[in-house]
Amino acid sequence: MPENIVIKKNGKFEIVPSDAQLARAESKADKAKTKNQMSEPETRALLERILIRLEALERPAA
Amino acid sequence: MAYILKDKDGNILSFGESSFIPNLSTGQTMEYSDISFYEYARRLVLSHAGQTGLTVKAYQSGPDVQVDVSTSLPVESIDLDINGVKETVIIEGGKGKLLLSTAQPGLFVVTPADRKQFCVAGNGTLVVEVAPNA
Repeated sequence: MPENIVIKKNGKFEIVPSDAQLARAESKADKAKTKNQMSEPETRALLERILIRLEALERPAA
Repeated sequence: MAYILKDKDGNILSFGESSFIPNLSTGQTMEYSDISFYEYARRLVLSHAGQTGLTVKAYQSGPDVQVDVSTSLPVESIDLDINGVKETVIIEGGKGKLLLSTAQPGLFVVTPADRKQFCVAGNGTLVVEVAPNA
């Protein structure tokens, strides 16, 4: 399992979230968005988050 | 009497107490110490809540994870490596500590930065896994 990048913040070490983790954090909001009409930029952003998460899933374990 | 196995660069690979002499690979060296295996193992112990040698499980947004650092050596600080970032931990009375945040999910791997002084094997490594919220 690859190590995560860490930074020191307020005296403690914290993991820097990957792009996939940031995309995953939006998953509930993204699901809710699909129930309504979305603008083109919103749709593009949603697709990008899906693709980022897919890439992370397909990436072989180090 | 403990034996200490080192690589070609002098980094400690392992240590043990055995009447069998391990087969050394090219460049490896072996030294002997008058102290026991138990005493040698106490040169560096990384633990959490009294547990060492196990993967510590934590949850995102849960309590921070305190890594307890203890040493039997008369040192004032120990340099640790946290996922490639070096941190100097102040040692008082043989003990020090390090805090890991659970704000983000992922894996922390804490090891000694100076592998010529401390062994990464055994109690010298602590892995902390922060599981994501559902």
